[in-house]
Amino acid sequence: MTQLQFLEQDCTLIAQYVGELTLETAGACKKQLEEEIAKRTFESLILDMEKISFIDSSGIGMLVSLNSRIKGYGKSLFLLSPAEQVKKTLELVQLTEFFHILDEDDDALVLGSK
Amino acid sequence: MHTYTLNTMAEAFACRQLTKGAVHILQSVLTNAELLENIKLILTEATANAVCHAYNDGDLGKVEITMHIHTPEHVELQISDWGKGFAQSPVSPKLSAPEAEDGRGLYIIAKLADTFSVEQHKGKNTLRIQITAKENA
Repeated sequence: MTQLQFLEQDCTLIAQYVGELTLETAGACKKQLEEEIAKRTFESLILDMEKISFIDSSGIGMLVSLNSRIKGYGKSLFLLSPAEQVKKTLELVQLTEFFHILDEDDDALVLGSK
Repeated sequence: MHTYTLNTMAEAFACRQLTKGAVHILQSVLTNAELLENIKLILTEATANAVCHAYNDGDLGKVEITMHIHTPEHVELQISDWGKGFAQSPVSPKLSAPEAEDGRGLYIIAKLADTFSVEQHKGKNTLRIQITAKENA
């Protein structure tokens, strides 16, 4: 069962994750994202977080790791439409300014759709 | 007051299920959705902490959640393991640097809990947490 799906649009790679991002799942998600990142050509990665129902500190650690890796490649990571629990947890650990978070309106701007 | 105790092995999948079981019990009692969400995150972090740090590799021990539900808005949580214990008191955990991948679990617990303490007694290590619904929730 894969919880990650990928879509390429121009120079943007969109990854959508469905489910919980916790200690139980973050390792596999990180591994799959890193494998996809390594073999695809893109300028920006958008992680669609609308269907991430729950995140813990392990999931947040995975996001931080992903951000570092993407920046290391000279590219950008955007977190798209995090669900309410995810947004609140990122606020709790004061990372809402650290990450580039897009809401649905920004989504239309970036993707040129909707 | 109602008391429930659940336990399993200190393994990621088992502890996720343990937390979900505890939250399922609380759902039938608690009236405050925000309190329930906060407890879910606290239990997730506390059990994950035990999975990652309590026991040496290959030495799979037990994790236990005890919940004392005093009123629908006041819950005491105890998350215990029988592992190494805390090297130093984690009662005032600091927030990790933004670039750090680890170290936010206890900070999250401390931020969400009303009170948060650590006990070590006869090989049993317990995080004791009191949490109540916020007035404006």
